[in-house]
Amino acid sequence: MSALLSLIGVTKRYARGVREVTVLSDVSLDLEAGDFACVLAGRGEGKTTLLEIAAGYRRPEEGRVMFAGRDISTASDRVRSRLHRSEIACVLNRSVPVVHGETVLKHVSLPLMAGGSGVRESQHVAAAMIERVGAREYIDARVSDLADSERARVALAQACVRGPRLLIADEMTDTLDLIERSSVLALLQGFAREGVGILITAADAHGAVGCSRLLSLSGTGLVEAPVARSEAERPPEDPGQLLPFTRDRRGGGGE
Amino acid sequence: MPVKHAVLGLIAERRGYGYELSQRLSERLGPRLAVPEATVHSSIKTLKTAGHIEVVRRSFRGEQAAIWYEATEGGLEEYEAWLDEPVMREPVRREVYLKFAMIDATRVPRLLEQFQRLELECLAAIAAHTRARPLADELTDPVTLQTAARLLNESGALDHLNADLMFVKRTLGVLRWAESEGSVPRDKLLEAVS
Repeated sequence: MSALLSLIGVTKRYARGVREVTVLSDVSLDLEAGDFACVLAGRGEGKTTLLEIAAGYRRPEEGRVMFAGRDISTASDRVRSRLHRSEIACVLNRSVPVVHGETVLKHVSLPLMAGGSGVRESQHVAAAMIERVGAREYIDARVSDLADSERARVALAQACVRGPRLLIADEMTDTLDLIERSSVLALLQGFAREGVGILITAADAHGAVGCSRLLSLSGTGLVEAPVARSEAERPPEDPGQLLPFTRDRRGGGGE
Repeated sequence: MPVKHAVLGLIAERRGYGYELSQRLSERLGPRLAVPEATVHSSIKTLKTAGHIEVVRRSFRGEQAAIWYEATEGGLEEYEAWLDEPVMREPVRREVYLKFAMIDATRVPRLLEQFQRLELECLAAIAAHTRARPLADELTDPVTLQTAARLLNESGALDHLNADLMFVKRTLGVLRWAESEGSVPRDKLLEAVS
C-alpha cells in the first residue's frame, strides 16, 4: 500500500541575484495516514518551501510528490485546486486572510459553501468544528478582531472542516504561549488519531510535543529521529541535564 | 574540562612550552572556555609521564626557564585516536568544543561526520521527550505540584536539547561550507553565530 504523501528525491532551487541557491536537495519522505510529523527548522532553512511543495503549491525542479498514489508535482492546476478544496488542507501562513467584517462562523463555513453545500448545512457543520477546536466562545466575533491564538484555532477549524486526509501547517504554534501551543498540538494530535496525516513545522522542540515523528531540515536535506519502539517511549536518562522520571499514566502521579 | 588532548594537539602542531601553550589554547578556545595556566602545566606533566611528549630544548629569558616539548610518535597516535573517538551528545558544551577548536582543514570531513551523528542523537532525544510529554488535554486542572515540577523539569530538559540541536546544526552549516569551499563565507558565519 502506498503512503498518503510521498516526497521522492525532491530538489528545489531559487535564483538569488546572480546565484542559484539550492534550498532542498534530494529530499524524500513518506507520510502515512495518522502520522503526526513535525519538521524542526530555523528561519531560512527551507521549511516553508518544503511544505509548499508537499502541499502541491510549488513544483520541485527534480523529484516527485505523490499524494494517495498520484503525482501532484506534475498534475494540472485544476487537479491540484480540487485536491486543495477537499483532501489536502493547508495552514501555510499563521495570519489568516480575512474578508473585512467576516465572522468566525462564516469564515469556517466558506470552504463548505464553495464546495456546493447550502448555507444552513455549511454553518451547522462549521459550528461543530468550531466547537471542537475550542473556538465556540468567539463564533460570532470578526476574525480580524481575534488574537493570534484564537486565529490559529479558527485557521485549524477552516482547514479541517471538510474532513481532509492530509493537513499541512507551517509555524502554526510558534508564536503561541506554551498553554495555547499545547492545546493546539493536542487538537492536531486528535485529528491524527482519526487518520488524518499531519505535517507541521516548528522553530523549536516545544512545538513538536505530541508528534509521532520528528524530522529536521539539515543543510538541504531532511533527517529523521529514529522511532522508539521499546517500552513506553520514555525519555532517556541524561545525567547532568535531566532528572529521570517515570511517567505514570495509571493515575498514581496525581493526574 | 579535560584539556590534555587539546594541549597535545597544540604540541603536535608545533613545539611549545607551558606559558606559550597556555596562550595558544586561550586563543583557540576564547574567553568562555578559559583554561587556567596551571591546568595546562598539569596536562603537560601528565602527557610527559605518559610518554606522549618529550623535552627537546630548554631556553632562558633572564631568570625564567622555558622547557620546550615536542610530541612523540606515540603522542601523535594518541592525538589522532582522540580526534577519531565518537563524541557524546551530553558534553556538547565540553569536548565537542575542544575538538572544534582544534580544527584544521584536513579534519573537516571527520568532524562533519561526528556532528551529523550528534544531530541525529539530539533529534532522537528530543523525540523521546516530545512523544512522552503530556499535552494540555491530558492534564487535570489544577495540576499537582509534583506534576508541575516534573513538567517544568522536562521543559527545561527540552530547552537544553533544543539549544544543543541548534548549536550542532549551526556548526554543521559552517563545516559544510568548509568542506565544499575550503573556507567559510563571512556572511554565512555571521548568519550562523548571530
